[in-house]
This record gives sequence, structure tokens and C-alpha cells, in this order.
Amino acid sequence: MTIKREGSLFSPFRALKQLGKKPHTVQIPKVVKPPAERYRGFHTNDLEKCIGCGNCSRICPDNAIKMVPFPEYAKKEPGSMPLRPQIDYGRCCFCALCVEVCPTGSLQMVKTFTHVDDKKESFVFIPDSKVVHETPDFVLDTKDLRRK
Amino acid sequence: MKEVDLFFGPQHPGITGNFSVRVKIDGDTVVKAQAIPGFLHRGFEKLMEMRHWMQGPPLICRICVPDADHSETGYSMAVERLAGIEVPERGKYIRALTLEMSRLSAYLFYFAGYGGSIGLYTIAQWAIGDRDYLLDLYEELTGARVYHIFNFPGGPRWDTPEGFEDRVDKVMDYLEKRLKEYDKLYFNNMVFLKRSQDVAVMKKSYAEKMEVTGPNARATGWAIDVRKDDPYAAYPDLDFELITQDEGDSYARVMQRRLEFQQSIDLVRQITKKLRSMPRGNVRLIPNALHWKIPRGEAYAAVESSKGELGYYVVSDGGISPYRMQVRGPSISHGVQVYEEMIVGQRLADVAALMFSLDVCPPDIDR
Ligand code: SF4
Ligand code: SF4
Repeated sequence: MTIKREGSLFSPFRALKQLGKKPHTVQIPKVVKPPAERYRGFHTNDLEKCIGCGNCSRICPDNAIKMVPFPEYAKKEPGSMPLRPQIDYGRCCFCALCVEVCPTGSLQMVKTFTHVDDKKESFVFIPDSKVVHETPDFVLDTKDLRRK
Repeated sequence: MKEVDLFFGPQHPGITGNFSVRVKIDGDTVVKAQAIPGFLHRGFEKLMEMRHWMQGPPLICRICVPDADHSETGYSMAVERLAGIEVPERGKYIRALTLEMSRLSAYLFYFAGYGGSIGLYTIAQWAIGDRDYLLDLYEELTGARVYHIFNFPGGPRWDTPEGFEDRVDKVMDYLEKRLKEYDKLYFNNMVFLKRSQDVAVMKKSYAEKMEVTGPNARATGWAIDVRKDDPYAAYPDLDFELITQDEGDSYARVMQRRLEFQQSIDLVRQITKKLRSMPRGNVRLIPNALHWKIPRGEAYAAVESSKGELGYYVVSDGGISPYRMQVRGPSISHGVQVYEEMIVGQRLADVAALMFSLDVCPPDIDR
């Protein structure tokens, strides 16, 4: 295929036509674009339903999951273990492989994904049924970000 | 005149990511160049040996950031060949849909990068803005925007959500409309013409000798495309003709992407039409991710990524992880061997522009 090669000096002015058109971006925090239904954000885990099998920790490609002891779940039916997954969000890549292999369906992912803190320990926690940062996590008060 | 050594990158905004070139210039003419890769070496190939077969995609998608789906699919296809499994029909179409959308978003990145390197920043803003509509679609389909972790050995993870095909078509209509505006602002721009015409001309014989692939090869008149030569996913059923040009200069390379952009829009429309008429249901075979063993052997599978042939060679010793995996990336030829030779005799201002025009993706050199 041969293309006719020609150029115009006036072509840059065509960009002016875009003035007054609706921009691509939204004005956070006045307008918040909600994540899609399938968005892979933080985990939730129904600790009652979870049987501590450790499949999630074995499949995790980033070694982000550590099984930690939960003695209060020791009395459960045979086959279940008194362990629950603890996730290090400094390592997690949000691939959802753990959710896929969870045999009980207790481990799930929710749509929220923002966490800001100056303490690295806060990125490691044991997900439970409560959704992390359910309040709009987009609206950040800059005062909170300042170091004490 | 005194010759001067200059370092381009890895922090230079005109370089495609973490990559560097050392150029020797005389006046403003390049007399020698040496590509310095390695800033992005993360040991992908070695790390894969420590992962189960199903743990591959979350890592492998990082080999090419703007075109992640081709990496996932290439690896998955090699594993499927080795395991002797066949992806369900609908899964193949969904896979092809993600691949073509990935090509579109990678080409938009390309238009932005090349435009920026010759000073046309408006087009860079436009293209990155428009790419976001494709990322929205990805978010809806796969749950992630950049690293989709969606194409696994056995097929794509999920079926399309309800009404997704219509939304894809809407975005395609939008992109087609925008492409006409791109034509006016960018592809018919005198600055673009003057900066790219007759710059770094590549002959077909040279492309063949240096194993140049993808749009760079097609811009020299060499009609190669893995989608035609070794069809995969839904490509055997899709109707498209290879586009080639003969000039092989930077202008031809950019226009090659411009023409293929339109072709990809048409391909996406063919796929969504077919997906609508297909019964919903099984898209993926799911082996037991934790204990999946693959018979001893080796396999190679290649995909036509937005940059050229991207191949995966995997060896299994019958265990739960690859014994060895190797990547055949297009950028090692384009970004190191070809680039070092073609930049000689060009002007200093073309150091970054040529890098973009060859569409070099440094992580696939370093992998
Ligand atoms: S979350 Fe699921 S996979 Fe993980 S230990 Fe509990 S039941 Fe097992
Ligand atoms: S989402 Fe992926 S990386 Fe994160 S904890 Fe689960 S398996 Fe590990």
C-alpha cells in the first residue's frame, strides 16, 4: 500500500476545535468514578465460613498470605484448622488467585483499593467480613497525611 | 569537529522506559551508538521456574506494560500446547477480543510516544485520554486496568458481563471518530511529515536479516504476521488482510500503526458480533491450580503482539512448575541490534524519535 504523503501547516489549529468539549477527566472529590463490578481490590474473609485449609496461601504467587493461629476456631468440624489468612498488602498484586482456589468461598474481593498510612505494619492485616475503608476512600484529608 | 559522548536515558523523558543509549555525536550527527539495557532486569524467566503453572500470568503480564495481554496469552498457549488442552470456542473469542483491545491501547500509547518525541504534545494527551476508555472496558471485563491477569492456561477467566459487547462497540465507534481527528491533527501534520519522512529507512532484506517482526517488518513490505502464519485464538475465523507498505522509513512505521489501528477496530467489531450470536457458558477449562502437573516435553507458542512476534518457549519435566521458560521478545532485535545500526548517521533529535518509531519495549529485552 502506498500512502500519499502530504502535510498541512494549519493542522495544529484543528486542536482548537476541542475547546469547550467535555474533558475525559472527572473532578475528584466532587465527582467520583465508581470502580467496575468486577474490580479486584481488598479482600474480605468470612472467618466463620473459612476452614483454615491454607489453599489461598499456597497458591499466592507473591507469598503475601501467612496463615496465623486462631485458637477460638479449634473446636470446628474435622478437617478444619484453627488458622486464618493474614495478607500483606505490600506484596499482594491483586491477582485473585486466592479467591479462585478458596474451597468455601469465604475469601472474596471488594471494590475498595486505597489505603494510605505512614506505618508499614498497617498494610498487613487479617481480612474479616468488614469491608476495609468502606467510606469513600477517595476523599482524603491532607491533614491526615502529614507526619506527626 | 570534536566528538562528544552523550547518555540518553534511563531518566530521559524521550526514552521508552528504563533503557539507555550512549551516543557519540559529531556536531549533531550520531556516529556511534550503544544500547544499554538491563535497568529493568527482574529475572522473569528464572522466577517462573519457582511458580506453579497457574501462577505464571500474574508475573508474566509485566513483561510488556502497555500490551500485557499478549504476554499472558503467549505463555498460556505454550502451556496449553504442552498439556494438550483446547480452549472452549467462546473462550477463544474472548481471548481474541482482549488481544485486539490490547493492540489498540498499545498503538494509542505509540501515537502518544512518537508525537511527544517530535514535540506534538497535544496528540500525546489525546491518545492517553482515549486509551482510558479501553482501560474502562478492561476494568469491566477483567477487574483490572493495566495488568489484567485474565488469560490463563485453559482460557480467559470469566465470560463477558451482560451488555459488554454493546459497550465495546460504542467505544470502537468513538475511537473511529477520533481517528479522523487524529488524521487531521497528527497524520496530516507538516511537522510529522518533515520529521519522519526518509528517516532511518529500513529495507525488506535488512528486516529479514535482523529478524525484525510486527508492524516494523510490514512497513518494509515484508508480509509476516503470526495471526496469519500460525493462527491462534479466534483468528482463523476472522476476516482480515495483511497491510504492508514498501517505504520502511519512520513515516511508514507510524502510518503502519495508523492503518492497523483501523483494522483492529474492524476485528473487534467482528468479534463482538460473533460473541453476541454465541451461547454464553463455558469459556475456560480449569485444572486444579495447586496440583496441576504437565507431561514432560517442550513447546513454543507465539503471538503477534503490538510490537512484533512475542514467543514463549516452555519446558516441563513433568512437575508442577516449568523446568525452564524463555521469552522471545521483539524488542531485543528492534531496540538493540537494529537501533544501534540505524541511528548512525541520523541527527541527535532523532535519537528518541527513532526509539519510539521502532516501538521498543525495554522489559522484554531484560525479562
Ligand atoms: S480463606 Fe479459603 S482458602 Fe484460605 S484458608 Fe480459608 S477456606 Fe482455605
Ligand atoms: S490476590 Fe493474589 S497476590 Fe494477593 S493475596 Fe491473593 S493470591 Fe496473593
